[in-house]
Amino acid sequence: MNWLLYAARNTLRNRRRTLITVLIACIGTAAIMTSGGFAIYTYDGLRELAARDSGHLILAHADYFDHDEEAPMALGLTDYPSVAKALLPEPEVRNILPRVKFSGLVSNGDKSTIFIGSGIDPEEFAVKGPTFTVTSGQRLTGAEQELPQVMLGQTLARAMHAQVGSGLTLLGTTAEGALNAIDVEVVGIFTTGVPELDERLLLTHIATAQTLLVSDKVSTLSIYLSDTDDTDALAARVRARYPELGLQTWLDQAFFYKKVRDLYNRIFGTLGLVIMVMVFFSVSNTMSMVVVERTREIGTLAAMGTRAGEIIRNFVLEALVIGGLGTALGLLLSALITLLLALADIQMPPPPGRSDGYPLAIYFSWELAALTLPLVIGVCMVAAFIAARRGTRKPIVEALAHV
Amino acid sequence: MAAIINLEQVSKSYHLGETRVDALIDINLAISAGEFAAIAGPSGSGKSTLLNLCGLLDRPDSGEYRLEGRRTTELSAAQLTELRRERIGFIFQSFNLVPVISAAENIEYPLLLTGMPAAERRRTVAALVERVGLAPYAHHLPDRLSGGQRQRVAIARALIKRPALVIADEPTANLDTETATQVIDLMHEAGREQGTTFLIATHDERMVSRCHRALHLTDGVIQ
Repeated sequence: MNWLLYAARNTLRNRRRTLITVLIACIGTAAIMTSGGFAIYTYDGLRELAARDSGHLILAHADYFDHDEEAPMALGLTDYPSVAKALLPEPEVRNILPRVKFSGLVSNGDKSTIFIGSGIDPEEFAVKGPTFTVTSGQRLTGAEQELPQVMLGQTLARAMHAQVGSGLTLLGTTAEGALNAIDVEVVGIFTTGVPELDERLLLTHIATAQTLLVSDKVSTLSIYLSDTDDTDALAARVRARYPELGLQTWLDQAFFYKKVRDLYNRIFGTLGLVIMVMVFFSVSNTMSMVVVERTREIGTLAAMGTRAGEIIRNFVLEALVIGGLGTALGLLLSALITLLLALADIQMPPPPGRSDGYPLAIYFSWELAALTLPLVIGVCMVAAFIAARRGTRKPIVEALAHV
Repeated sequence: MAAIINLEQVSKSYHLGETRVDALIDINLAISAGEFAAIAGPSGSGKSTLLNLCGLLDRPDSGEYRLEGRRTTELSAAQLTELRRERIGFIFQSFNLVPVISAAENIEYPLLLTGMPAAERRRTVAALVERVGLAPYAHHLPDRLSGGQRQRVAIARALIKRPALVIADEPTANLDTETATQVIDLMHEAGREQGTTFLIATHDERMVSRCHRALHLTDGVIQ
């Protein structure tokens, strides 16, 4: 006989009660694992979305991130091709693409409105993957066209009464401060899922943007990595190599990601705390009943010379068995839920500020399991410790006389 | 022979509601090592209280109790626990076996507390199980044993660590005549072999007649 076996057998005395306590630990564990798994899935999705949108690392003029430009491209990069050429061989780097950020007015002849433009390399679509949905037409292509091409956010297109093939005029301020205008053709209309962006966003070739601004500079150089986890390591190396340039990581620019993460951490943290309290009270209630029922036995064991600490340890080991079994079942249950959701393809409603829903999925995280299991088992053991300590304080003579 | 139990002017009272009950009054008692002593008396005479004090389960209100010459009134609760663990075995009227472990494991329990290596524990238990005639039932849970078998398990559990003193509270009360006789024989035999002192509270005349000495308690006083 050993103490753990002794504890395991004790849990079988009242099987129904043990089963209920095991189930509470199981459901508590599964609830933490699934809610945490949903949070991790959301963080992961938003992280990749943010990193894909901006690039994992964003290089710019030293003052670009901290100061407003007095004139368009005043804080632009000039020698970006040589920087891109030098960094491209780094093993973590997948691609490096320049971007021109600009704004101005877009006009259909009858009506003008403000746009926020990005001059991009069409290769960016392949590098970034699906960050928006083309609702009509096509994406920018690298092929030479008679008229410069643009893509419009769908609300902006609606406001301009523009369709694929429509001709528009872009008006902007050049780097020298003069006004400039170019005619463009709409080749595609898209939605980002964010109504505010759809209302203003315009995409065009980098060369078109530079023509409008009359500049050969770019605003930023986006460095895309194969693995987001390499961001910090490469950022340190790039900073050391180009101290004269400004550098931000995707996280520095991921305001939405950070806000969602803060919010979810609070929501799911509170939920986890509530679950832990529920498990604590449940196990505490069970162990208190167990201790009362075994008062006479506690007296017998104490009479035989069992120390109070040893009696308490036996109850704590029982809680370990119950908690261990409950958390193991909870892990299985959460793995099953993860699997079922992956097969079921359930769509979530659009989050605030978005117009598109997203698939409900839950990650099964071993890291989360490594935190949850000891925590739930620990809560069970603490509850048992408190209940058993009360039980061992009864005088032996009284305990032996307990009916 | 040296006294293993030595009580001097020991008194103990307790309260039943607001009424004070004098359970033991100025008890003087010396019991020698290896002695088989019975405490007889009607219900409420103080037998259990005297056993509790001698078994270090309770403390006297006044007077002195020496166990193997050691003053116990000055010892802490932890020291009393150690003394019980090492030197005292208990046999209870209703056996008080742990229901979820087998007969052999119940007997093994006191050795588990001493930290004896598992192999040695198993050997010691097997020998005693054989000795008390429980070999065929060693792996049975207590609820599958008869009253006599359970009491034999309880006796073996009390004796397994070779204690200096065994405290037995009505050990034959729940047994039929034949089984009671077997249990008394077993206790006698073990006491003789191990030199263990037995202090037995009993109503059972068969048990009293087999003891070296019988002490009669009435209203907390030894007659």
